[in-house]
Amino acid sequence: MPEKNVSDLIVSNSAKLEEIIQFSNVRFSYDRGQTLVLDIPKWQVHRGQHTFISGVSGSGKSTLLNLLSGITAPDSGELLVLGQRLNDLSARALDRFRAQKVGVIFQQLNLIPYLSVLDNILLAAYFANKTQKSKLKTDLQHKIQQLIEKLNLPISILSRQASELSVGQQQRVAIVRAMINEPEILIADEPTSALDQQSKSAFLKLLFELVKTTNCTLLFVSHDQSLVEQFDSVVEMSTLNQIAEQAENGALNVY
Amino acid sequence: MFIKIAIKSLINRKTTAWLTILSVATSLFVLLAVKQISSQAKTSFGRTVSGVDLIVGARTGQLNLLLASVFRIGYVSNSVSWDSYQTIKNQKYVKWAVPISLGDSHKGYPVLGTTVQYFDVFKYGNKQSLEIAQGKAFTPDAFQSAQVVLGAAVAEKLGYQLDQKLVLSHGVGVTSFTHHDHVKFTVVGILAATGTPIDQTLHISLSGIEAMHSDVVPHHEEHEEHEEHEHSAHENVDKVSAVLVGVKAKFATLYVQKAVNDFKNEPLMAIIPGVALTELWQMMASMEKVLLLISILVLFATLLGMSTMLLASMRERSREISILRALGASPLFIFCLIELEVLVLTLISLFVAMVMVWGIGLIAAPVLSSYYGIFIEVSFLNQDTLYIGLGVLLMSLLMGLLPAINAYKNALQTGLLIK
Repeated sequence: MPEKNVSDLIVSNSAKLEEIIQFSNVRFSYDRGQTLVLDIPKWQVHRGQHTFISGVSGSGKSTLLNLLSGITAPDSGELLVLGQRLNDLSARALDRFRAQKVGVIFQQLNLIPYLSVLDNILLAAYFANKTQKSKLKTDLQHKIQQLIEKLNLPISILSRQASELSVGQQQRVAIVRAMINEPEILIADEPTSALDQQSKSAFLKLLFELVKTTNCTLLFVSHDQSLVEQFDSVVEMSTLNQIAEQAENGALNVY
Repeated sequence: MFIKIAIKSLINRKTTAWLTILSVATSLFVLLAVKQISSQAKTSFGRTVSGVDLIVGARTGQLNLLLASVFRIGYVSNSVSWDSYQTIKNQKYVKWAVPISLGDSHKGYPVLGTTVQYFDVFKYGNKQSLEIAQGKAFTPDAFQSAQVVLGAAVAEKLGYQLDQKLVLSHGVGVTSFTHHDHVKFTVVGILAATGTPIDQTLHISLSGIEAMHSDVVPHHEEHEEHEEHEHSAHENVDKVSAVLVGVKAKFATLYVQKAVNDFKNEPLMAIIPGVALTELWQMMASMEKVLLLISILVLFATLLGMSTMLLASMRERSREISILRALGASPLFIFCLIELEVLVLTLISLFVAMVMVWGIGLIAAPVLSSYYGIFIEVSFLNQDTLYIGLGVLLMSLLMGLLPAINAYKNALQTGLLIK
C-alpha cells in the first residue's frame, strides 16, 4: 500500500474543511418579506461535520432545515449547498437534489405504515432514480443487506409491515432509508426523543458509526443537551430567529 | 412503486375504500342498468317484427295495436271481420295477408290463432324465418283444428313434448277461470328459439280458436279416418283480432295503408310497425332521459362523496405526504397519487357495477321475457358500457381534483418536520 505524500494530505485536509453549506445574508418569511422568520447573516458547515442544532419552538429550526433541503426557497441572500445555489434550481431539480443528496430522519413515525420495510427503503431509492436498471437494483439489494446488518436488524425484517415494528426498530430502519442513497447531508430531527436511554445510546452509536464511515455531514436537531459533547459543532438558534453563533465542540452559547 | 403506494394506501383504508366502492358501484349500476335495459328493450322490440309492412286492426291507438298484435302486451279492443280481411287480402298491391286471433292463453302464455301461412311469411330479427325445430306446423283445415305449435320457451318451461295433450283457457292472465276443456289440443310442432315473444306463444289454427269457443267437439275427435273428408280452412271464422300484411313493393305500403284507413265497410286502421315503434321510442325517450338524468345525478353525488372522503383523509395523511416530500417526491407526484387512488376506486367500482348489471340481468331476463315479452341479452361489456365507463372515469378524475389539489398545496406547504 503506497504511503500518503504531502500533497495528498493537503487535498485531504482541504476536502475535510470544504464548506458544503453556506448561508450568506439569507432571509426568509412566509408572507413575502413582511414578517421575517429567519435571518442568517453568515453560516457554514464543513463536509463531514457533525452539527448539533438546538433552539426553542418557533426559533426557526424547521425553516432552516426546509431551506437546507430545498423544500422552501429564501426570500433573499445566497444559499449554497454542496456547491449548488439552491435559489437557481427549478422545483423539479430541487426535489431530485433532495432525493439524491439529503437524507432525513424524523422524530418518530418515520415510515409509511402500510408499506413493508423493504418498500419504505426502496421508496428513497425510487425518488433518487436508483431502481431503474437491473445492475442498480442488484447493488441496491446488496447495500440494503449491508445496512440492515450494520444496524443489527434481522434480514427478515424487510418483509414486515412498517407498522408492526417497535419505535426503536423503526428509527433504525429510518437510518437505513436515509443512508440508502449515500447522501452527503443527513438531517436528523430529534430522532432520539421517542427512545429510552438504552435505545438512545445504541441508536446514536450506530448513527455516528455510519456517518463517519461515509463521511456524511450530520445536522442533528435536538433539545437534549446531554448529547452535545458527541458533536463537532453546536448551533443555538436565537429567540430572534437568527443563528447568532456557532459554538465549537462544548462551547454552547445559550441565549 | 407509484401504483403500489396508491393501492397499498387504499388497502390501508380498506373499510372506507370498500364503502366508497360500494356506493359508487351502486350508483353506476343504476346508470348502466337503465342504459342497458333501454337499449336491449329497443333491440328486442326492433327484432320482433321484420318483413311485416302493415298491421291492420280495428281503430285504436297505433301503439296499442302494435303492442297487442306483435308483443302480446295489452288487448285488442275490437276485431276485424273475416270479410274485411278477405277484401284486404285481395287488394292488388297486397302480397300476403295473415289474420291473427288473440285473447286466449295457456298457463299464462298467450295463444295466437292464425293460418299456416304465418310460419312462412312472418319474419323476425334480420328477416329470419321461423323454424320448426321438432314436428310440423298445424294442418290448415277444420278437421285438424285441435293442433298446437309451441314457442320454444313454452315447450322448455312447461316441459311439453310432441303429441302432448293440453287445454287452453279463456283470457290472457296467468290464472283463468274459464278453461276450454272440451277441446284437447295436441302438440304437433315446437318452434326453434327466436328471442322474441313468439317463443312465449302457443300457435293454433283459426279453426282451433273457433272450435275452442264453440260447444262443438272438433270433427276429428269423432272420426279416426279423417282423410275421407274435405274441409274448408276457416269455415266458421267470422272475425280476427288483426291482420299482418306484406305488400308487393315498398312504395305500395302507404297506398294500402290509406286504402285500409278509408275502408267504408268497417272502421279499420293500418299501421306501419316501424313508424309505430318510432312513436314508442319517442314516448319512451323522455322517460329514459329522466331516468338517465336521475342516475347521473346520483352518480355525481356519489363521486362527490368519494372526493369528500379523500379530502377528509388528507389531514391524517399529512405525515405521509411529509415523508414522501422529504424523500424527494414532488408536489405533482402527490397530486397524481391522489388522482390514481380516485382512478383505482372508480375502476373497481365500474367492474363491480358491470358484474352487478350482468348478474342481475341474468336473473331478470327470464322475468322480463315472461311478463313483458321483452327479451334482453345482458352483455358484460358493450359500447354503451365502454362510453359510460370512460365518461365516469373522466368525471371521477375531475371530482378527484379537489382532494388532489389540496394534497398538492399541502405538499408545497408541508415541510420536513411534522410534529
